[in-house]
Amino acid sequence: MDHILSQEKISKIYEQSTREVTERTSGIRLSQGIATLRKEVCTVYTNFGQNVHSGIALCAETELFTRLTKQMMRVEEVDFQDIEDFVKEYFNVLCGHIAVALFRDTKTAVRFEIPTFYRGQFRPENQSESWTLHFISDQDEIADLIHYKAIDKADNSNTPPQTAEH
Amino acid sequence: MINYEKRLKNMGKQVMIVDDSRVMELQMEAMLKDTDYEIAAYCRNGNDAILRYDEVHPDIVTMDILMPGMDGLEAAQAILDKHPEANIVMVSSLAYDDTMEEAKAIGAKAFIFKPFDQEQILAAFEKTLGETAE
Repeated sequence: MDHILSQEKISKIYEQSTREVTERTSGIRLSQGIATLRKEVCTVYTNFGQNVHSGIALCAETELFTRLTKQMMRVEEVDFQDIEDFVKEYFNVLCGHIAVALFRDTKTAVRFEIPTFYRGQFRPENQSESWTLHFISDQDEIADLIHYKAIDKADNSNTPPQTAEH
Repeated sequence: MINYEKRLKNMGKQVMIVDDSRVMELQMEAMLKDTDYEIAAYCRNGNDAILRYDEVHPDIVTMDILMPGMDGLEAAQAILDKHPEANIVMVSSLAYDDTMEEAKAIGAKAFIFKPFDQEQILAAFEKTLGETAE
C-alpha cells in the first residue's frame, strides 16, 4: 500500500474515514490537532493482510473509548468488556471504510484481520511506526491513529516489544 | 400511511443474526424492537449458523462477512446449497464491488453496509421478503 499511494493520500483517507465513521457510529466529533496522550489509554489494532504488510492502530484515552461505547449502546454505564466489544466493532467498521476508500484509488483489495484490543499502548511485532495522525474530540479526549509498516527482515533486531496486555 | 397488507405479511417474521460481535446483537435487538420482526437466534460464527438454520428455519438471516473461522460468504453458500429458499442479507463494512458480486452470485438477497440504521435494515428485509413473495 505504501508503495502504491503517497503518505499524504493514505493519511487523508485515514483522517476522513476516522472522522466520518466516529460521528456516524457515536455522534462524537473528532478533529485533527497537535496533542499528546495524557491519561490511561487503550489500543485497538489490526493487520492489513495479504500482500499489504502494514497495520493500523487507534490508541486513545480510555475516556474517549468509554464515551464512544456509551453512545453506541445508548446507556449511562458500561463495563470494560462492553468497551472492548464496542471499540473492536467500531474499529472493524472504520477499517472497512478505509479499505474501500483505498480500493477506489489503488484497485487493490485490502483485507484486514479481526481487530484486537489492548489495555495500554501496543506496538505490533515486525512492524514499525510509519506515521501518526493526532485527533482531539469535542470533549478534549485525545486519540492517535498510527500507521505501521513492515520492518525489513534485515532490520528485525530493532523490533519494538509489545507493551500491553491483550 | 401504514401499509397494513405489508405489515400483516411480515408479522412475526423470524430473524437469525450471524455475527461474531455482540454489538450487532444489541443493536439489532434495539432496531427490531416494536417492528414486525423478531430475533429467533444469534450465531457467533459460520459453522454455528449452518447448524442453527436447520433448527430455526428463519425467514431472514443477517450474515456478517468477516468472522473467525468460516467467513460469512462461505456460510451463506453452505446454507443456500442445502436451503435454496433461504433469505440471506449480507452485512459488512467491507463493501468491495467483488465482494458484493460474490454475495449476489451465491444467492444473497441484499447487502447492507455498516454502520446502518433502522430504516436501512427494515428496507432490506422488506425488499428481501418482497422478492420471495413475487
